[in-house]
Amino acid sequence: MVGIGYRKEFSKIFLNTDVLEPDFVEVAPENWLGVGGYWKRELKKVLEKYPLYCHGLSLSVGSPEGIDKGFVKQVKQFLEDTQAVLYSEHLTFSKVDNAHLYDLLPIPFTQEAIERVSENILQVQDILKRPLILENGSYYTVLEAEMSEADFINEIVNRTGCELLLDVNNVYVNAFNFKYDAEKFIQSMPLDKVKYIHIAGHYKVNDYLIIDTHGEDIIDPVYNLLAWAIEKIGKDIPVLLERDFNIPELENLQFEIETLKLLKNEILTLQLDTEYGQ
Amino acid sequence: MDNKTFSLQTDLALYCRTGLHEPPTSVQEHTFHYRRLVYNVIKDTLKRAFPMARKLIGKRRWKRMVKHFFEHHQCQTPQVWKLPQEFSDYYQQHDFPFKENFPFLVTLLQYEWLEIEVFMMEDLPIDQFSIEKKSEEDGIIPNPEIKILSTEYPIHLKNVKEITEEDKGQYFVSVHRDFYTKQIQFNDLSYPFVEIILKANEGCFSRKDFIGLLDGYDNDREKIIKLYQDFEQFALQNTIFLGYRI
Repeated sequence: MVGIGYRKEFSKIFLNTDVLEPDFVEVAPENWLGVGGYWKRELKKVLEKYPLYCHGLSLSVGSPEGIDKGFVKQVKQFLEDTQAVLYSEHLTFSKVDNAHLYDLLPIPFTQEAIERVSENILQVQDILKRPLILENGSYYTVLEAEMSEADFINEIVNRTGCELLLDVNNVYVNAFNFKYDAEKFIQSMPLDKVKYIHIAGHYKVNDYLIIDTHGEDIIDPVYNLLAWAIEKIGKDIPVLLERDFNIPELENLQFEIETLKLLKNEILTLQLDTEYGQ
Repeated sequence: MDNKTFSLQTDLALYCRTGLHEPPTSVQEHTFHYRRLVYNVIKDTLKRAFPMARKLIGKRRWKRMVKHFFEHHQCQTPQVWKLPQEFSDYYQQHDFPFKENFPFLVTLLQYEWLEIEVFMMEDLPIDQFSIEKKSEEDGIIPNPEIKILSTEYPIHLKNVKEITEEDKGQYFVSVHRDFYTKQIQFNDLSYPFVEIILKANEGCFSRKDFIGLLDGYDNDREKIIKLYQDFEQFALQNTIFLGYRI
């Protein structure tokens, strides 16, 4: 399955033509909670055609002050109302000192953070009554690192039983920015916990920095990394194409979706053939 | 939680909000991107929400206002599209050096936020209605997805840059979501019609009740009836009223 992030910018053409045909769509609950009128009507049309995956923005599991339980309950209601297939979020923080920042900041890779984040995740899971699926974030600098990002993630997964959204583009971005081996990083993740994959384009600022913009086409090295990751995971995991800015003609997005489907099928078929000795 | 990790996170967050006291990080020259990315979200959200207010006070003042807001205000909503309401409230509650020069900026911000609020608001329950009227005593079913703003300046009628003290008066503008298209409509209203809309949304009232209410404004009964009939037709055409109780 390959899905697309549903954007209001392309809603009209998406709903009224067959140009873009994903297997599912993804939305951020924050953009739809408590929304009625025109957009509620449009979302209803989307839900009649496609399964919904939800990917949140404001949960802020890395917040030192804990999570907003009232907000989590609202999200839970939204997931129920829309019969969302899954709900994922980011292993980052976006709220500190009781103030939202509306962007994803990197959590220090420290033992103190592990304690706090794990407590936050357990509280969310307790309300949602389902494991939280958390995305490895992209980052451009590190506040503090007592351990590697991989150890940080593994420890949190072990403590909380949460699951993973492997953002392949984020791995590529981080590997470039911090000069590490992207494949080695993926290999060190608890791959049996990966339930969802994200892929996107990015913006290369200079030879030392890539920003995760979701505003460009996917580049070949990221496709290659995805292929490698799928092979290692060895299962058919839903993949989501993220495109939030600089949105091209829907034909281009459909081309990317088809490329992703082909890539997935090739690897998974090859794996089956190998398993059955063909 | 009083620990080092918390302090590091607070320092980065404060830097993102103020642009001041950049915290030490592993790749110092990349730290400013966080400030840039966070601030762009705030800037773009408010720019999109308040095109008229921004035009009225000019880009430089607007920039200062947004900067001041984000530095000093703890943004409460997890839904960024609701942030313009906090910005509008913040301006109302705080002093700005240019506040005296723009006597209707508070109302203009409220007005522009209302457009977003009513467009996005949750669907409200509406009683069953018929567009056919059986008698003069049929209850009117109003469109509950409506807000009314009282203003001393005609921000809904004139180019805001051309409004002067001479325009000062008492105006009412309704902002409602069309029942069928779900798009926003604005209407300039005189007070008696504001009262009718408010009453209609409070309970079950018929044409007869509303004409009785208008009686308080004029002794000429025929004129009142005509006035109400015209308003009712206008309200039905524009889905301020939806029809008659079944």
